[in-house]
Amino acid sequence: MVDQKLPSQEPRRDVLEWCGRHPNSPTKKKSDSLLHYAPLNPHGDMNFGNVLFRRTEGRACDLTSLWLEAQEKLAVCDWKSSDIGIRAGSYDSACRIAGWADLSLPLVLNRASRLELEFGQLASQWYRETGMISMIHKKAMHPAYQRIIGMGKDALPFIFRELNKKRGDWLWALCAITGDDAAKPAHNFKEAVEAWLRWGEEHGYF
Amino acid sequence: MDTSKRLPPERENVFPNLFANGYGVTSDEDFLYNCIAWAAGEENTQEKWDPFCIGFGYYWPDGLDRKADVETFIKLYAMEGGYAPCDTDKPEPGFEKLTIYVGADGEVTHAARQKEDGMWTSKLGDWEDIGHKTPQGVCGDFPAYGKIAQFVKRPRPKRD
Repeated sequence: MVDQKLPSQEPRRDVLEWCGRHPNSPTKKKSDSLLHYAPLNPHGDMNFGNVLFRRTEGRACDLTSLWLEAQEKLAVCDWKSSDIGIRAGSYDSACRIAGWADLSLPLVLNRASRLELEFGQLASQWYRETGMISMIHKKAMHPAYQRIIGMGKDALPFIFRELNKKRGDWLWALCAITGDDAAKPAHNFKEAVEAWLRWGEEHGYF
Repeated sequence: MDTSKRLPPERENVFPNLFANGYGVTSDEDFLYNCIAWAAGEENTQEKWDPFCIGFGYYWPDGLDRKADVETFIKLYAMEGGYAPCDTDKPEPGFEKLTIYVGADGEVTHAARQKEDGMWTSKLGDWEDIGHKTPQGVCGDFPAYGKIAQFVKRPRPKRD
């Protein structure tokens, strides 16, 4: 239920489009809001519960990346696709909350968004629970990593995105899913990552 | 050793002995190398050594068993750096020492290198490099690195 009017400074359209609804549409509150979205205040901060997010990429903020960031930082969120609500707010020039509206839209995700969120949740869990482990043969046995491999080729765009961003241990999954190996025997890890990134580009994953 | 820079709490808490034993973060997280390679030389910042892997990019020497037990890792460091087993972590002038750690399943979990000042350097998985005052600093039940299984040493190479 919309219990307050949206402030004049509208949330970014990408969030609203992501919801597939206009914020002024009548809505039913399905659950507590898990995700707070707010345009940046002049200091570039964003509140999520009692955690302060500092956005550095300007005003651009898409819900997926915010959600993934929230998961990584909080490490406590249980995600259920039907339970996500959004609290959109805006700040005035004095950094006071000028207004907010509890949209609490039940998100109807398209398949691509659902896959992306599923991958993001699994990847966050895997990073969090295996980040201290050095041995890929241990890391790759983690249930989240195995589930990502089980997503098959649907996971490839997201794996390449992660590989491009962090250069992490995604080569095992890429070999398992594609049945290919872009790296050469003489490659060190960095060279192997670069070879896989070229492979991903050639196959249209970027 | 500069102990002013600490790991984020959720990472520091993985290693119950770390703070009490003294440590400091020495580099940002980096996904391009692992502790096994890093222990053998600080030049190994683009390599991951692992006995089991699918595909290329992970290094393991030809001719060495693909096992993760201590004996195999002693051979690994003998082949790659000329290290030989020794009995203590006590600093010895002119020698560089490594510590090899094993988990409850008997498989090697980690390796750390002793620097010239007697401190130890560890690459924590994908996370940061740290300097720690004792090799016991990263011991503990999983997800910490278990217990110390073996020390090895070699004449300290000259580095710039």
